[in-house]
Amino acid sequence: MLNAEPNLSQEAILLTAIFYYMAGASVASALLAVTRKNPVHSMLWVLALFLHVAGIFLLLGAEFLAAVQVIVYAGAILMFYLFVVMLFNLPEEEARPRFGNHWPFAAAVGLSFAALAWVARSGSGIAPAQTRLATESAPQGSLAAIGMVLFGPFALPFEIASLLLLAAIIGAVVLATRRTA
Amino acid sequence: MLISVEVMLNAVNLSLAGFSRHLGDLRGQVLALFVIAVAAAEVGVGLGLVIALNRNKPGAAVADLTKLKW
Repeated sequence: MLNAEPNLSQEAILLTAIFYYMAGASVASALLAVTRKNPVHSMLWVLALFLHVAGIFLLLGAEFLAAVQVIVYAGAILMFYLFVVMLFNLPEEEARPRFGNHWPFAAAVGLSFAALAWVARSGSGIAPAQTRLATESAPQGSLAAIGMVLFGPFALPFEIASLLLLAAIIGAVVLATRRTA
Repeated sequence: MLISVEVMLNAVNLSLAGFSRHLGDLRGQVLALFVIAVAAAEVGVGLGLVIALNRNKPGAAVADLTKLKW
């Protein structure tokens, strides 16, 4: 980026605006997903949430993570959820109360965590003051760099993750098999 | 309930990616990838359980599943 100064600041303003849109839309769609009565509507709001989070990943320079988010989360996991949700008796589900008895506790915990994040952001002693700043020149999150880390120091966890997925496949088949004998 | 777990995992992924960017360290993103893989495994087993439970006792409400309590 060797643009002139005003051009650069315009770009920064645009990126900031996009970030605030993505963050606000993520929070709003998460709230809607939790509060909607119809489970299918809930799932569609979660889809919006996943896509906006993928946008934030893009803004953070994590292109591969954004692609994985769209393909795995929005593509595979969400479709799976939708199929299962459609097995349920939807009118009966809509008539139920949406929240359990403990939801004030959960809301309090969530709000206090948000307050903690806010305090840490304003830097009033809780956040570590001296953190290493990102080097802007390094091409972060590119597929090659991630691959070098993934197959270098993280090779063993990678293999363990594949084993975990295999165990999950077998477990899901065992659990969902209808016993016909 | 399970989808709330997904939303929370997404929040964790987001903070991992954010700190990875802030600290200039790619390990955060790799960790987020592992979180996604584990979430996929969790979805497979969890929804298998939900289907098996739904076959025996219709409904998605966790509060109704008191049979597993002792």
